[in-house]
Amino acid sequence: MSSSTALSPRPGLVQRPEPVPRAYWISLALWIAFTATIVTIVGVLLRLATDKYDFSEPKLRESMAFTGKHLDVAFFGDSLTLEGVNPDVVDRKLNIESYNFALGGASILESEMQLRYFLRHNPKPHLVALGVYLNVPNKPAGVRPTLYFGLPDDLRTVFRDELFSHESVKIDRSFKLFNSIPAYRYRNTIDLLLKSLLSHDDQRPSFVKGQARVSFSRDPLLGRKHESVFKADELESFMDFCEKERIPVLLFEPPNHPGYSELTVNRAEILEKVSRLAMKYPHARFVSFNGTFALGQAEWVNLNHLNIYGSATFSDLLSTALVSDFSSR
Amino acid sequence: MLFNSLDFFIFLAVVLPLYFVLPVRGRQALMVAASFYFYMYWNMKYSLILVFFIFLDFSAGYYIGHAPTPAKKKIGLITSLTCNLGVLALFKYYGFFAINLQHLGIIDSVPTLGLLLPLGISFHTFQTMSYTIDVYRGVIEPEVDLLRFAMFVSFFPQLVAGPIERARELLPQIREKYPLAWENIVVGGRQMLDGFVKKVVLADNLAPWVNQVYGSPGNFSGGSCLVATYMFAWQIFFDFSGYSDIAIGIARVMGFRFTQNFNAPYISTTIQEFWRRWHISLSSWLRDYLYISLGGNRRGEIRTYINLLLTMLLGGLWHGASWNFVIWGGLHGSWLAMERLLTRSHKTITEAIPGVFAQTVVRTLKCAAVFHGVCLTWVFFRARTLHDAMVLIRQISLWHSGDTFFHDFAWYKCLLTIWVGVVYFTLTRYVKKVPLMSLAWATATLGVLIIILLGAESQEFIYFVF
Repeated sequence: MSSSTALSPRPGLVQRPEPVPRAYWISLALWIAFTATIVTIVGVLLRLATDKYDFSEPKLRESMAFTGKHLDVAFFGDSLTLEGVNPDVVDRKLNIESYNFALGGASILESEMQLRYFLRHNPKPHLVALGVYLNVPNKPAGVRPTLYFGLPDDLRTVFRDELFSHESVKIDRSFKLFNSIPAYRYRNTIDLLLKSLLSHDDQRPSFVKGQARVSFSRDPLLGRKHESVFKADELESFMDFCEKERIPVLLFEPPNHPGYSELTVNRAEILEKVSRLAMKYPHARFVSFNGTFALGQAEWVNLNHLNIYGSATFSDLLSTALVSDFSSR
Repeated sequence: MLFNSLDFFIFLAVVLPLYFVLPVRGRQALMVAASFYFYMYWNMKYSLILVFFIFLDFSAGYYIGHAPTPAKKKIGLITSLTCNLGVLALFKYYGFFAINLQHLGIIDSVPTLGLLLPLGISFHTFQTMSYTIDVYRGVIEPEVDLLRFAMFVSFFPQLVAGPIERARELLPQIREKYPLAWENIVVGGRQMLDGFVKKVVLADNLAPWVNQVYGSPGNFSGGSCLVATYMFAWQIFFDFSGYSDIAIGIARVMGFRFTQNFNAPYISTTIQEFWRRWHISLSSWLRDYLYISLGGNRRGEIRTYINLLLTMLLGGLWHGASWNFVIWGGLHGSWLAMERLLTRSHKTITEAIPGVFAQTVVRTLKCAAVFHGVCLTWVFFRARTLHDAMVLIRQISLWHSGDTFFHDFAWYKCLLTIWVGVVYFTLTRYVKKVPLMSLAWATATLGVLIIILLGAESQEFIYFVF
């Protein structure tokens, strides 16, 4: 501490600045217009890039446009299901019609909202299959603006209330305003563009019946031990809704790379919780495909996502779990 | 209300135009009302504490200013300080001292009061205390207008996290009627934009990495712990100086000039210089009202060292009621004392070495040494507990192996974001020297764009909890 420290001088106390001339207001207005134009252009470019690089956005728009679509199986879940379940394989094997509604990073609550929205415009599917990820790391929950803004008012209210009660996430004015700016709404695509730039592989997915397909494979990095924050209350809410709608549910755990599940310190407890929950409902069952069959390294995208080859293997196995539901076909 | 929230922008959009159309008295009334609304947005009941401070220190100042004898002036001052510090102690330090007294066996049990820590209480307590002390010292005349005084205490840009403004600087400005001036809009607007870039783009993108490591330091490798500590050094700088920039910028748009609160602290070559550059409004407050009151350097060498140590220990405790902050302040105080001891008896190394190049090398090394010394103190500042701080220091010093975050893709994105931030600030510094309006506009557009594209999820300002 020095006694020589001095406060900065305050020239404002002696200067009396002039009021703002009209020309300055015009230049401020021009700057606002210029900035708005740049932000809009960036938004349009990001939107275009989103269509090419994003794993969920294009198919979410596609699935929200369905009307009167009859489905035997509607698959929901997060990125593990999105990339891991190939409806083509399932349909061929069981002679049915299915669609993969899963979204990257989707919470069970988001899946419930997708299902609720689907039922507003389409007949009930014969079966709902929900892929559950039991090793959920502790990350703040996100809300997909396209889903939220696409919902009718009453479902938005349900979504908002449920989101606050389950995830303590508030959808407020900031969320609505910022997400109405495309540059903000699609800014996560910058990550995908960067990943693509840093990688030798073609990272762009192709979509078939909702499945996001990629063909590359990278060496996995196992990461560190962590506690899963699996939201059993969201799952219960999903199951309650299906029960109310009298739709049978298959809960399934997609495969994880060997060694990955062991990193979740409370996995056994969560597995037990999900199994008990499934038993509570008469038209539900739970199957874990984790560690039940072997996949080669070339079948994984990375740690726990399957590429087009792995998903074909897994979907074939998944079909066998559905045989009893469609044995009459 | 957070500066980085939509609600604050709506608030500002209503308050600013109104401010400029009103006469001086109307402006003062508007500012008091707006400031209370701003505070009540967090907690309605606790705004009564602000009311208490306003009436207490207004009356105390008036009494001290008009008391006929020095003894009566002193009584006025002591009453004001006791009440101010009493409220602060009740809300901020009660739990800390009670628990420690219980640990020492002096008291048996600790009754819990269940009190929230009022937002920014340390800031406005120090601001009002400086007013009564200045009146007592005869530096300023007591304020006779309650409305002006209420605005001085509650003025929203600096209410919850400073800068801690002095009455002699702010009160005269409150009496003025500043017109809506172009220079103020541009300079204030730019400073706000800089503040938002620092906070939303830089500090908030660093926060997740720091939180991850400091959440469980024992799991992370020495390298990750070290990098997380460097990151925290920058996070807290960007967070707090970003807040200060926004506060100073808002005030400037209205015509007010606030104290500069940060001045490139990490280029300091001594700890003393660091404190001339870091949180300047607090360090100058501690110097003027605590260090000098304790005798400063006028009572001999030994007493000077003790005063430095005491000032910084209390400065540490000002930040929060925990042993971590006491250690943080204690380390700074010890280094200030050591520096004084060394520089009094010897020439500084830079002075002793001839040649510009050699001096630059020495300056750089000193700068790095000071930065690392400050980083060591940040470990105590940021760690949740003393145990966590010691674990982190052990991980770094023994270079333990453990988890690392360097392989995570988001890490590269974080580095890219920092790089963009650095480019932005380099450009704006350069542009400030170029009288081309179009370039200034272009960098402002860049600022808006990187906030939209790279801004992280909003986090509270670190200094809100002090």
